[in-house]
Amino acid sequence: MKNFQKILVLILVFAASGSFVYAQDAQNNQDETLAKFDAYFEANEKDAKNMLGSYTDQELKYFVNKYKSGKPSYELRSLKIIRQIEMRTADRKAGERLFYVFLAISLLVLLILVFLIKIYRMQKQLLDEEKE
Amino acid sequence: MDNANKSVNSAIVYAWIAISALSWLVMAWMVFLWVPSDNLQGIAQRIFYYHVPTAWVSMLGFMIGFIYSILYLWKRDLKFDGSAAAYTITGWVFTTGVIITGPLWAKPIWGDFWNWGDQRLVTFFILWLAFAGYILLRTGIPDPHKRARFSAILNIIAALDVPLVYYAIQIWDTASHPKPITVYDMKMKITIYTSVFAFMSMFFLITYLYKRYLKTELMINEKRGSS
Repeated sequence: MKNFQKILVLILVFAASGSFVYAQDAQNNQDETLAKFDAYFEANEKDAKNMLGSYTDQELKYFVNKYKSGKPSYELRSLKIIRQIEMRTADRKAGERLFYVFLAISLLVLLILVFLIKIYRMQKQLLDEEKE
Repeated sequence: MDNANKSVNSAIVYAWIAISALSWLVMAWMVFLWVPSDNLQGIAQRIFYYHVPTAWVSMLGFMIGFIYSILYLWKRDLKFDGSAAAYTITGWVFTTGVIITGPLWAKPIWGDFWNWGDQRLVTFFILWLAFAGYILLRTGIPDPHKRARFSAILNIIAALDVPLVYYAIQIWDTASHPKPITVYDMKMKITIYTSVFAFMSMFFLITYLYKRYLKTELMINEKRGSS
């Protein structure tokens, strides 16, 4: 019975220290994420623009949640309006980019194919003339 | 023996065509379905998987053409002129591809198709014009040795622009063309290597076919001249 109590205490101590380490780790990660965003706010415009691309989806989500928490309803709704116009712009831009990607690759493939067909036809014409 | 050689050659060409076609299919699957989008440029960055290897193989074509041109001037053998023409003209076709795909990337990213203030773009355009002149010159001179001599000289002069194009970004810091970057994403790395392989394979296949055509033309002309 005494041994059982000792084991139980030991398990409790391990569990408590484990959860403490996990919490500490999570806290450190959050601090690191926030520090990354501090660097973003302190950077000049050009660097800040480049830094935006380096954030992971999770980091962005964390920052947004942190920013949103405790904000009044008016401000959150204003954010939704901003998000709406940005979503529409992003959608239009994605469509435009898709069009240019499609055009670029199609034209390149067409160019190579036309050149290949031209070589084939020239070779054929030459051999046909030779036969005649 | 000659027939046996011919059938072995045909088998190699067919295998080569199959490898090229397959590598292009794999590349297309990777570019459109597998590789992640760039965080800043979005889907437009995928043009790079076609644009960059096209530029690389065109430069390679010009450099090999340059070597064959020197060899022609040294040995005066029309075989070298044929090889120089095949590599240079195929390189020029791929350069045209670079000039098509580059502005189509620039439009959604820069907001404009072209920037005349960018030295990389201008030196590249000069390169394209110089080799267009090479092609025009070849069509304008009927005598094969005279044509080979003049085109070899023009090829050597035009190829001097190749290092200038390559180092334009380092020489002029104002260039807006993207600088060479290190790709850290493993999927992006694999995709660019696959694209380079696919383009190399296609480039050497086309060059081989073009060289074969020029060789046949030379043989027929020699036969006609001797008879």
